[in-house]
Amino acid sequence: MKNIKVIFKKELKDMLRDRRTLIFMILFPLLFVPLIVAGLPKLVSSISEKNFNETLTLAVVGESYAPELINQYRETENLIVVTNVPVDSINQRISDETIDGAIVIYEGFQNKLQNMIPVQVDLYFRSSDDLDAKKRRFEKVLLDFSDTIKTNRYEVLNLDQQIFTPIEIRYNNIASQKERIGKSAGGWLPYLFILYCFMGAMYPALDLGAGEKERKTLETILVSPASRLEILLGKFGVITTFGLLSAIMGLIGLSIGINFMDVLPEEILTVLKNMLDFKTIGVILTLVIPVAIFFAAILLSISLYGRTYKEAQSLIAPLNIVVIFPAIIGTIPGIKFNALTAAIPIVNISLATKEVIAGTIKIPLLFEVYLSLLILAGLAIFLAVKMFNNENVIFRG
Amino acid sequence: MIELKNVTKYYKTTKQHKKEKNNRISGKYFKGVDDISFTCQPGRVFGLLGPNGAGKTTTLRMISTILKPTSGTISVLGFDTTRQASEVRNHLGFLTGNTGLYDRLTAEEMVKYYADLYGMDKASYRQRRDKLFHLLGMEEFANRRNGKLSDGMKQKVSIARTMIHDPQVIVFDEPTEGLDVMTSRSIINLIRLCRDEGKTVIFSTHRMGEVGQLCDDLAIIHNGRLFYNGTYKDFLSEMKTETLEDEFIRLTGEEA
Repeated sequence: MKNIKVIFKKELKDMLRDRRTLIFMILFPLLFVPLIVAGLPKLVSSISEKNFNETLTLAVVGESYAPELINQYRETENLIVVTNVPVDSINQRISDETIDGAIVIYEGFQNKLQNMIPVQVDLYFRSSDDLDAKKRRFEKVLLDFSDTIKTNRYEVLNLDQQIFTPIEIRYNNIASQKERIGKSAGGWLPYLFILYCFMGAMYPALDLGAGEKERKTLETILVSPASRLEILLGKFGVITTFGLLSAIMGLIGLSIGINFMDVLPEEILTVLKNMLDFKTIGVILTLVIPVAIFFAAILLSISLYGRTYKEAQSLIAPLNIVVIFPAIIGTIPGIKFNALTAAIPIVNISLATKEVIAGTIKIPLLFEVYLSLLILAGLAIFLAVKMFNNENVIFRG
Repeated sequence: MIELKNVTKYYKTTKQHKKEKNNRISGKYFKGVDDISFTCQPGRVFGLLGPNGAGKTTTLRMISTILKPTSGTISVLGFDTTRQASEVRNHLGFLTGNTGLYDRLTAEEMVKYYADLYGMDKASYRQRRDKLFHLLGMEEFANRRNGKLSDGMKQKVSIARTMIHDPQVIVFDEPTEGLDVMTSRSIINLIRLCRDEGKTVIFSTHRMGEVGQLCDDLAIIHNGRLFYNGTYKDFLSEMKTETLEDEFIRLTGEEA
C-alpha cells in the first residue's frame, strides 16, 4: 500500500508538470465547454438572423395580371422586385445567384379570384441549408394576401368564420419543461463527461505506459521493491484521477458557460440551472467514476502493449470511436432506458442521466447501470494486471 | 552472492528469429539462455562477456527478477529470484548504460523516489544521499530537472538512484554502452568502489578491454550458452592464442 502511494504521488507530480496533459485536461474543457455553451446558440441565432434579414431579389413574371399582389411584394422590407426576367431563364438565374427567387403569375389571375376559383402561381426558389428562409419569406406575402381575400369572402358571403373550425384542440403536455429538456438534451451532458474523461485519461495513460518503455525507465522501476501490482495500481490511480479531473473541469466549464456568459434565453437558462442541480451532478459523477476506472484500465493496458509512444497512440485512436459511438446512441431520442439498455456500458450512462435529469429514474435500473460499469471496470483492471505481468508484453521486441 | 544453476530461458519465437533462421530456435521457442550455471562472490567483480544477442541482458534481467527463468534456479544472497523476488530486489541495484530518467523530475526527486520505494527513513536517506551526491559531484545540479541535464550528469543521477539503498548486489548491464570516456571512467571507478566495499558485482560487456580492467571472474557467453567460467587469472594463463579477441573466437568456435 505504501508503495502504491509513493508511485501515485510521483506519477501525479510528473504528469502535473506535463504541459500537454494540463492543456488537454484542464485548459481545453475549461475553455472549450463555455465556448460551446455560449457560442453555439449565438452562432445559430446569427445565422438565422442573417437568413431572415438579408436583402432578397425576387423576379416577377406577369406583374400586370396581379398588380395588387406584386405591390405588396414591393412594400416588403429587404426585398427587391425585378421584372425583366424571362420565364425560361429563371432556373439559371437562381443558380447563378443573380436572383433569389421568382414568382410567375398567369393570365386570368384576377378573374379566377373574383369567381372564387383556386388560382395557381409558381414560386421558384432554392432552399437547402438556410432553414427554408427564402421560401418562407416569399411565401409569407402570398399567404397574407390569401388570408385577406379569405376574410373578404367570409364577409361577402356573410359567413361566420367559426363555422370552419369544427374542432379546437387544446394541448396539455403533462411533462414538465425539466422533463422534456432532460429527455431530449440531457443525454448530451454525460456525453461531454464521457468524452473528457477519456481524453483526460489518454495522455497520462500513454505517458505512464508506452512512454515509460520508450524512455527506458520501466526496467528500473521493475527492479525496485514495488511489486508489479503496486506499480500498476499507482499508475492506474493517477490515470483515473486525471480522467475524473478532466470530466470535472468540463463540468466547471459548463457552469461557467451557463452562469457567466450572458447569451442564453432566460427560460432555457432557468431550466438548465434546474437541470444541473447538486443531486443531478452528484449522480452523474458517481456514474463517471466507474467509467473513469474502466477507461484508465483499458488505456493503460493498450499503452503497456505498445512498444513506443507512437505505436500506443495509433492503437488507442480507434478506441475513440468505440467510446464516442455508444455515447451518441444514448443521446438519440426514442431509445428507451430499460433492463436491456441499462446493461450496455456507456450507452447506459447517457440514458440514465437523461432519466436523472428528468426526475424519472428507476432505482433498480440505476443499480444495474452501476453493476454493469463496475463489472466492466473490474474486467479491464484484470486485463491490465495480466498484461503487466506478461513478460512478452513488457519486453515486446 | 549470486548463484545460477542450470538456468534456461525460452522466448516465443518471433518473425525476426525465423527470418534469421537462427539455430537457437527449438520448435515454437527461441533459446535466450541455454543451461548456464555460475557463481558470483562478494568482494569480486564478475564479468559476463559476449557479443550482442548472446544472452547477457536476459541473464542479468533474470538475476534482477524482471524475467523468470524457464527452468533452473537463481539465488541472490540466498533468496530465490522467483519465489522471493521482493527480498532480492530490496538488496539489489541495477544499472544499464541506456537507463532513462524521468525528465520532469529533478535529480533530487528522482533519487528520493527510489529511496521511498526502498522504504528508507529520512535520516538514512539524508546520510546516504549526501554521501553519494558529494562523491559524484551532484550538488550543483541536484535541483535541476533531469530533462535539462547533460548525458554525463544523467548517468550520475542513474548511479545515485542505483546506489541509494546501499545494495549488497549490483548488476551492471553494459553500463558504459554509448557513454563518453569521462562518464565511462566514472562507472568503472564505481564498479571498483563497490568491489572494495565487499559488494557482489556482476557486469556485462562486449568490450574485451573492460574485462581486463575490472574482472576478477569471467564467464564467456555466446548464442545463449556458456563457453568459459573461471577466474580471469586462470583464463589468461590458459589462453592458447595471443589476444583476448582471438581466444574468444577460439573458445566459441566462431569465425568473424
